[in-house]
Amino acid sequence: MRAFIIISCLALAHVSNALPATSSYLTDNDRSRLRGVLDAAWDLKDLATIHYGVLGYKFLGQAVPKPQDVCKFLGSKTSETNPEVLFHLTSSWQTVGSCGALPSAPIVKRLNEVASSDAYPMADLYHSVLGLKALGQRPNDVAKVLKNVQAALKKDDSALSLGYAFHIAATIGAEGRSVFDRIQDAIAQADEVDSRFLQFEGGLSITALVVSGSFNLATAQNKAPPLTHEQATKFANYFLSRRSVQTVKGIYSLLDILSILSSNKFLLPVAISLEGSSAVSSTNPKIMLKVSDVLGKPISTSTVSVTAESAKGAENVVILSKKKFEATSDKTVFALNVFEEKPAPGQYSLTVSAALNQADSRIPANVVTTVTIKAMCAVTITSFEIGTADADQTTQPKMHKVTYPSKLPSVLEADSQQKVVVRFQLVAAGTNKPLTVHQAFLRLWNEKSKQEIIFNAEKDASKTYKFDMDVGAKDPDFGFLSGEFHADLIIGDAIIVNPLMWHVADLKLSPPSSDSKDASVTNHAYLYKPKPEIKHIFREPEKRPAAVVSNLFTALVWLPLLILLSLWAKLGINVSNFPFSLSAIGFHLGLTSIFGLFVVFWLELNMFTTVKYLVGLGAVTFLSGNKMLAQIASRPKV
Amino acid sequence: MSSSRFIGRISAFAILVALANFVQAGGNTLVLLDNLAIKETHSIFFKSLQERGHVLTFKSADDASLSLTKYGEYLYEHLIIFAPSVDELGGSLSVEGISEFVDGGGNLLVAASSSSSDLIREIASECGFEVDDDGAAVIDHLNYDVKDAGKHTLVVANPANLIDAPVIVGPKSSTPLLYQGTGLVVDRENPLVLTLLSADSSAYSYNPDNAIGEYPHAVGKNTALIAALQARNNARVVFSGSLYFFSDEAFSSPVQKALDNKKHQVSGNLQVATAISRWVLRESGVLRVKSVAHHKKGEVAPPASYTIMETVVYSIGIEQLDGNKWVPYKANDVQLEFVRIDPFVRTTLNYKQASGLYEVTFKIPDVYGVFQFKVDYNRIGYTRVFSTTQVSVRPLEHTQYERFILSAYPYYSSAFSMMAGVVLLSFIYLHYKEDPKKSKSE
Repeated sequence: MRAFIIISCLALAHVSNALPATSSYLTDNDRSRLRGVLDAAWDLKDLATIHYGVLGYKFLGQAVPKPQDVCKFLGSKTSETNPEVLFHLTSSWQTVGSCGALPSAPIVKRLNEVASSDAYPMADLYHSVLGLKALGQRPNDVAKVLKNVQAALKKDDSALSLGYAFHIAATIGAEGRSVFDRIQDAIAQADEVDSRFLQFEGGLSITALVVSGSFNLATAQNKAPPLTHEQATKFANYFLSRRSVQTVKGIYSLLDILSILSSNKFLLPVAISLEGSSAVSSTNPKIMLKVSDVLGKPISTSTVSVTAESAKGAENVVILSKKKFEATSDKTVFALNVFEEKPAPGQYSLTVSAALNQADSRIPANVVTTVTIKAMCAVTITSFEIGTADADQTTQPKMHKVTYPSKLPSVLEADSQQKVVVRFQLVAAGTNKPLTVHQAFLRLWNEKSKQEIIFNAEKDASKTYKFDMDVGAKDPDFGFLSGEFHADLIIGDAIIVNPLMWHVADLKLSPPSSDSKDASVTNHAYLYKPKPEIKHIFREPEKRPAAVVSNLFTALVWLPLLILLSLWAKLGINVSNFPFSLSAIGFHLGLTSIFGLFVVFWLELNMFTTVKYLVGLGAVTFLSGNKMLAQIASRPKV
Repeated sequence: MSSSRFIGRISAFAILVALANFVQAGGNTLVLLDNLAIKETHSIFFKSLQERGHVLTFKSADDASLSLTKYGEYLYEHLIIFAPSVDELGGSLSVEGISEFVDGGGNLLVAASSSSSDLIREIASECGFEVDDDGAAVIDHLNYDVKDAGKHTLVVANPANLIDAPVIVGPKSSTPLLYQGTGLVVDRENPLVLTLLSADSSAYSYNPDNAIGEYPHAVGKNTALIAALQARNNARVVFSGSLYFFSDEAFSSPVQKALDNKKHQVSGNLQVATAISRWVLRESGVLRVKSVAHHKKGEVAPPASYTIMETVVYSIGIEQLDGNKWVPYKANDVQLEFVRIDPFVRTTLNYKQASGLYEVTFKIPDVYGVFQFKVDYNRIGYTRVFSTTQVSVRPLEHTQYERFILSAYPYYSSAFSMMAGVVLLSFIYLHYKEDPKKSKSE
């Protein structure tokens, strides 16, 4: 027991002595992608973009396209006085290299003016000092510049401001000593994320500015920066995680800092990454490991020995320990045949250490990292059986054997009193060992309704996968199943090389008795569809009698009046009593007009106009009628 | 004078609901992040939003100064939460505050990941989604990308599994999508929830490090990868199980299924993410009612009331937001209902190219009462258009019935013959003089 504790303490001590490595580097793919983004600079619109584009191209070892156009654009800016513009101008002029002589005298004068004035912020000091550097000049009054920098730092000691100060001090050279002590303060401001990254608030450009400034200043002072290797690695992790940066300035910052981190005199982060697949299988038995600097180049001229310390699988099974990787034709790539250890399929965490055969002060003696590898195998389905059985377990299930990849030739029918039973075993190909997989699903799929139901096959103690589906049971999600289904077996796992989806059989499930039809299947699609049109059905007009009948009865109705008139005509009537007075004529005319009005009412008038006329006619008729009757009454009886 | 009174009366009757009226392109957007590095790793997405006129305010999700409202007014129109692991929101922000923001018409875009916090889960369940358990990831052993780190969680999503709604997810394309994150389960009972992107049949959502014990929450096509909700107030919510889906890396990566040799130079994520962001930030699928007019056929002004069985012409202008301006919306499935409690008529409106209006002519039913012209246009991805205009329909006046019915002629005739009889009889009765000769002879 005590021995075990000692051993484990030793192991712990071993790990803590060793230093971590970053797990990635700038690949060729990254480079070409970054170049694609940099191309945006060549539409020659913005000076800063052109500047960073020119610098970025230089880091990528590319020639600036159409340098004459770039020079022409730069030439149009020579009369500017803003120190930032001048900085971009001078630096890109110098980097392009083929622009000829820059009329530098007024620029130098202006930049010196800014650098030795205390009225400008830190950023402008930075721009003027680095602008002068691009012109191959030092500020006239170095002491004054340093004083200004110190004053600006008093006002603002943010990471950005410190980063500028480091660059200024690095440019000035030996006199920048006083700023060197501030590196520690700056590094202390960095935030740690996930205990993997170190970064400054404000992102890539600021982090790169501070870190590159620190290294440049350290180089200028020839003193190691107060950074541990671990911190440098965390910064490198952060920069490498930002490889997808999309701005031209960001790309310049990234390339600049990565080149510093791979070529400075003090600290070189080591990248240990898997080259190629993390999976080993019988066809691909070797793990390839790349040990390089952050740009993917060899870390040192001396040889590197890479050792697999241990590989631990599930339940801490150790499959190998202390095995040396073999060198390959590529100086940075090392290979180890893991598969010859006959690992059981599964995931392993491989602890790797890299050490230089010849000590290098910039690189820790022992860099350790852990990579996850997988041992893969092919899966074989053995003894697949599908069949039906009574739901109440009274009879032995009737099973049909199916072999991969063929399909059960007949359609399997089951009704609501039965259940569908599936049994199968999985083994690793070439062995008899039963295999457990993550995904062993049976999918039922209805081609017509697109209904899909997936069941999880469960494993029993003998590692046989089995699955019973009670056809009559009501699934809360799907209601009763009925209709024709495809049965597909899906086998998948991260450690098998041949995940599969196998169409096993066709099922025909009879619906349960019709009265238990379930309508709970909710489908809201109708809410978003046009609704059926509604046409109003108007009331049918009533049936009318034939025209002959109507006409006949109309004639019959008139008949009595005709009979009356004809009889009167035959009899002869004496109306000589008629008094030719106004009232008599008025009354009879009035009465006739009233009835005439009724006829017109029927023909065209509405009720209100009729009543209006009727009032007038009625009044006349009434008065004259009254008078006429009075006259008749007063007439002496004959 | 009289026509203006008419219009006044009609507008008093008309109830116009067009909630989309206040919408403007762009607008203030609050972006909550786990840490500011996400702003850099998702820069293409954010840049595309800014280029489209959105004003983004980036804040850390636990920033103590967070607030959505000031003096009772919302400061932001849209809220983007790209902070899957935030445990507690800073400032005055809370889950209730976010659901109130949505109730108040604000739009919400949330991205989760395999390690989502309970807070994100709560926001999801407020919106009708369920985020799978902590640690669960969508796994697809048959459709994973070659860049997968070993657990088959970098899933290649089939663009055929996108919802059939170009207004939300953009035009159909065959470029596969990269997805890495957790699975969502949508509430099947909620008719407002839409699954924008679902996984393939072979996918499931589970913790890749644990053996499957219980049935996974999301299996096969029921695994929603991106889900959306358009609330009844037209507020829009999109929930993605993957923050990676919106990242620069996903936007610019090539896609190749590990079990397939077909390589696509670049994933379709950028197109789909842009289309989805356009939808959720109310740039696409925003409709409003411009105008409603109705009148009798052959007239121009609306009448005070309609009479049954008249022919009426109804027209409605529907506009769609396109950038900063409203343009006529064209469709062939806008329907008009003529409703008195139940619809009596439901007919499709025809789009007139010349006027940009939808128009239909129909005959009012032979039923009188208070009716409504109702347009309720509800299509996937579009804001709901709802407009009702109330009109009264009265029965025929006494003069409007048929006058000359052939089968009624016996009745008319009898009345007129009676009238004639009265005129004649009254004349003769009053003025008859007995013939003395005749009486004598009798």
